[in-house]
Amino acid sequence: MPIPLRPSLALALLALAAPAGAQTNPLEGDTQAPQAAVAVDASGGLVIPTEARGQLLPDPDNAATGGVAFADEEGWYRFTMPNGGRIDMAGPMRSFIFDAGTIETKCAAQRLPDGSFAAFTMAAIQAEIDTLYEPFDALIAQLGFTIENRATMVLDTPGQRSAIPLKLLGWDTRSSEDVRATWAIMPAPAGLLLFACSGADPGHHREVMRRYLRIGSGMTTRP
Amino acid sequence: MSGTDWDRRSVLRGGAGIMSAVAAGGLAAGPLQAANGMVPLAGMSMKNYHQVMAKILARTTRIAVPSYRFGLVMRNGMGASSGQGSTKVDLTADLVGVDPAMMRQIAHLAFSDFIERLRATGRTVLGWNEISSSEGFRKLDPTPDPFLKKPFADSRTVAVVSPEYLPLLTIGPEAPLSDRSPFNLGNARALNAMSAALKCVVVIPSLVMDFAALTGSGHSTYGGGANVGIQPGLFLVPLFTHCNFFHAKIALAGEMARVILEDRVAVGQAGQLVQTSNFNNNAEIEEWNAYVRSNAWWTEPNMAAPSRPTLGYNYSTYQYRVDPALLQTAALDAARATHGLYMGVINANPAAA
Repeated sequence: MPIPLRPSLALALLALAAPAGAQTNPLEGDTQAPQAAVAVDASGGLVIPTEARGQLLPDPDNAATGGVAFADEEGWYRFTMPNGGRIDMAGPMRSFIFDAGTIETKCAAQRLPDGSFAAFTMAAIQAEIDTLYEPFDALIAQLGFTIENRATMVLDTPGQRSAIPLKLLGWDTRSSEDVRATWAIMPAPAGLLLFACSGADPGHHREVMRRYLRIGSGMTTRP
Repeated sequence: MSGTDWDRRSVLRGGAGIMSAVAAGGLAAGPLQAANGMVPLAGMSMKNYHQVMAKILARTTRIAVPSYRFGLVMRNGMGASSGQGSTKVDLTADLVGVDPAMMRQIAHLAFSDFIERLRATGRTVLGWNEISSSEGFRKLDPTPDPFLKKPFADSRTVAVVSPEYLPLLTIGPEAPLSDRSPFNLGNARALNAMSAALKCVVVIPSLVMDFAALTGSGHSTYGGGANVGIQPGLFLVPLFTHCNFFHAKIALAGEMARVILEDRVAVGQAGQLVQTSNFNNNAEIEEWNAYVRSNAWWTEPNMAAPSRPTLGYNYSTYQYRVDPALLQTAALDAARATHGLYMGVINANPAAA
């Protein structure tokens, strides 16, 4: 499928090993007020209020560390930068520059409206997602990256409530300049979300996506 | 699968002989190797769990988590025999490369994930100040950490730890992974007292992983063959992996809910299985086989014939040598998946504020 795309990611690597810190009890201190329940649609997509879309706003869950979250203009995704960070726009691609722990990390997202999956429900796409790598391999190669590993990612960290955690196609890649990046594609009725991260190593990239990327209901609902 | 497969009848008939023990695992061991007959982690659902009394979760929005248990099977073994013990095979496998500090760190990361998810459900998660100042908490009798247990009539030896800032708690009815009698209700009463005083549900999750699945043909009197096998690969241990919920209106008595894993869930590989020793009489049997296959017993009636072996045996030891980083990743993947399901149970039993 021809997809107009001009990746202009200047993704750099600053791999600093995270020190193994002392164990701190997450329950330490007094009882906290309960968190607000996270709203999700029937497919597991995060319901992003219209007024929050297209904005970089403080993230209440990471207020202590200056966290911010950006919600996509169309409500396709929400991405959190737990220690703060900045966003940029390069053509159609939105980039995120932030520190994940002690590692400087760059991520990028692009909406690719596409009707290929409009006929299918989110549940049907998710059930067959592992069979969808082949059509997209060429896209990853077109971006100038060599595929080193394909593994499906599960967005299973808190926030999903009891919804079935959504799965994304994932490619660990390396460019000719030896830049390592992990690419993810989320096929959905509304189209494809292309997401990439580069920081330390594939494990780190995947952890960043698992923890901080949320798929929004704008994508899981048919246009 | 690799392992040892013996057939004494074929030995004595001079037939195909005995398959020698095969060094198992190695670099070729793939994640799917352990998945045979198991549920893959990505496919794990509540269908793989047994739920009892989860409705008590609807009684209050407040939840206290005074302990979290993470365990690893450190040693496992399997034996088989046949022909009234004339053919014996036995293997022992050890988990190597793990220490209590590493396990406690994994327990800490898993516990942090559990609390983060619990808070995301919208429930009130009690802080440590409130938990530790309750009378019930003071009545708790912690188990020494690390807790090593070799259950009765079970070849597994399990090590269990909690994060370094939490007490390791077991209750009697949790046998076999407990250090007290099933009739010892001390900790259960203390947890009930905590629940009644703090008006909360007390939750204690338990996650236990094994590193290899063993199979064996058992001990038969009349059979001619005996075999044991070992499949390397981490998996969640049924029964030992569970989550307990306690709720009591009065300190004297309360109710307990449980969500218990019923199936083996393959988590993946975190190391390499290496055969470290093998003790057998293959050579003796092969000498006899060669003699029987030849016609020397007819053409050279006066030769010094080898003795016919009356016993076939093969004893092997293995080590599953783990890469700590891989073990941590695998354990946390397993923890996230199980915690997600526990949160589903909690959300399925909403409590009025």
